[in-house]
Amino acid sequence: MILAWKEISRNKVRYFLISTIMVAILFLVFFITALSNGLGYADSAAMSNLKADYVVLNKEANGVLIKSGFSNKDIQEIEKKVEGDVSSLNVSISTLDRERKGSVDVVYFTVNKETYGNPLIIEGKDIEELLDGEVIADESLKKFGYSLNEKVKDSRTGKEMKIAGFTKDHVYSHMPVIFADLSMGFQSMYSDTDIYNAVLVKGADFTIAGYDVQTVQDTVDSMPGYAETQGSFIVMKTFLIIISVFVSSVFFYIITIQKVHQLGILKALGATTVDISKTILFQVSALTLVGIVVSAFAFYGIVQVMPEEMPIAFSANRMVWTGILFLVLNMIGAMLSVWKVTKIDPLDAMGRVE
Amino acid sequence: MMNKEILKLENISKVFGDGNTENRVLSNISLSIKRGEFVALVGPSGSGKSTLLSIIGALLSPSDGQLFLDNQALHSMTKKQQNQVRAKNIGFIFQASNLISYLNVREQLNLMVAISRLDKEEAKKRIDALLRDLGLHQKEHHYPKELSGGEKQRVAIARAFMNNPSIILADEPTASLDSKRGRQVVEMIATEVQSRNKAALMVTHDERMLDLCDRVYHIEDGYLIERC
Repeated sequence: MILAWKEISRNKVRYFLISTIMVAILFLVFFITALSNGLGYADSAAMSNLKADYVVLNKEANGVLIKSGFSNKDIQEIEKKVEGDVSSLNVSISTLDRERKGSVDVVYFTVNKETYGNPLIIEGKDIEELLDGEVIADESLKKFGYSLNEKVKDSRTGKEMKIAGFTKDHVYSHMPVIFADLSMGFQSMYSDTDIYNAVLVKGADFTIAGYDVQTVQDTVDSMPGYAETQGSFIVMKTFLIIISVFVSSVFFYIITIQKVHQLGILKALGATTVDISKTILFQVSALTLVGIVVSAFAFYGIVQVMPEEMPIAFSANRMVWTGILFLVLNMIGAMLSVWKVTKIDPLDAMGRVE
Repeated sequence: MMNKEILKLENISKVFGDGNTENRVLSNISLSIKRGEFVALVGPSGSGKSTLLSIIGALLSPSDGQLFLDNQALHSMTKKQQNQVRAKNIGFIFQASNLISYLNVREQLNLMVAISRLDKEEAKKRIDALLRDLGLHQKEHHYPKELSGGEKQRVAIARAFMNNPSIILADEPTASLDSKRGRQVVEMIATEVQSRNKAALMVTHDERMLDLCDRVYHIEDGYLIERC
């Protein structure tokens, strides 16, 4: 180990350069991970946090919630066939209007307040406690200057309502979600009759003839654009990691080739391939760890000074796993150098071979 | 103990290449070296002296014949066992000093503690003694690039003695030095060999050093002749 450490400290520039490459690439990996998290969150958090185990959609929707449509009659039919708590769900996009303060796009999640269950409330009333004309809004609405017990007006229907409670982590397509009871009537915002997108069910797995039943996660994955966005990010992350591992593996391989004569001497003196390989693996893991720690701190610092509108979601858990993956891949890449070490002949130390 | 044979070669031959392009480098070489003896091996370039030293140093296996170091049969060992023997029983001094560029003098010697799995306390005492004997104690924190050629070779000598070997093998240790410093280096090897009661074999083409050796072997075209 002392050999590994001394070599790094006596060749600072060389190892500083490779560390810098690792830091830069890892920073980008962390950034893209956080961006994909953040965009995923802004797209679908409200959908992921639906208080349900299963979602019933019609066959024509092909799993896409907003393409599905049920009438009141359909809802009654489904409710008869399903055990457990059932709530219909209507998703409608609209705009809130306030005098002189501009408008805000929002998404109404119209549910049955008696059976939907309680999303996490950070301020004000639970859904069950809502009176007529009261709604629950996502806390992101506060950024637009709205506060608890404030009266707001829907610009499309002209209906007035009062924000009776705030929930969190309920955004959909970058818009704050407003939970409204069926009594608000938003289920008929875009038609003459009541239309529902889905039926939410809490309970065990089941099937109903003529309908699609899927999990909440499946519903999120089949949101239009969601899989495509996340897929592109995964491709970017994968390639960044592959490039980085490749760069560092090649770097250590070239360093090893440069040291063939010196490693030959060590072997002639009796050092084993295992001894020398340990030195290389120590160097790779030490530099990788430094790279991970420095880039993690750099990323954390950048997140603190970034504008709040950036869809960045910082997940320590994901960063740790990314770091571990990176470390493991670098160790595997270091096997290229280890393989070279096994090929070194101690006879090289003699300076000439007859 | 004084007359005990450390190294014994019986009919050692080395052939390179396959059947068509056979190149016989060493033919039926037999020799023995006792404890406390400093033996020189001279010969023109291409005579096979480095090959012979490589075989004795367990870096190459002979094609034929038997080779014993401390009564261990080197010729029938696996690469791994040969490695062990080099780590424990042999001290090498190479043509160029071949020091590790990023270690200082003391660390060069300390490196052998890890390689040869030496006892740390004992190794520390030996390092102090060797640095003193070889006049290096004021240079112990210097790096190779801060040392002269002669000093580097003295560090290499100290390194060769670190694992308390049975035999010292020196491959043209004076090749990169002028004759005055070369002679000093060979004198130091001779002194250390005598005072520590080791055996040593030095390959050289510098005939002026031969008076410092106890015996001289001459090798030519793969055949060995002893000259007195």
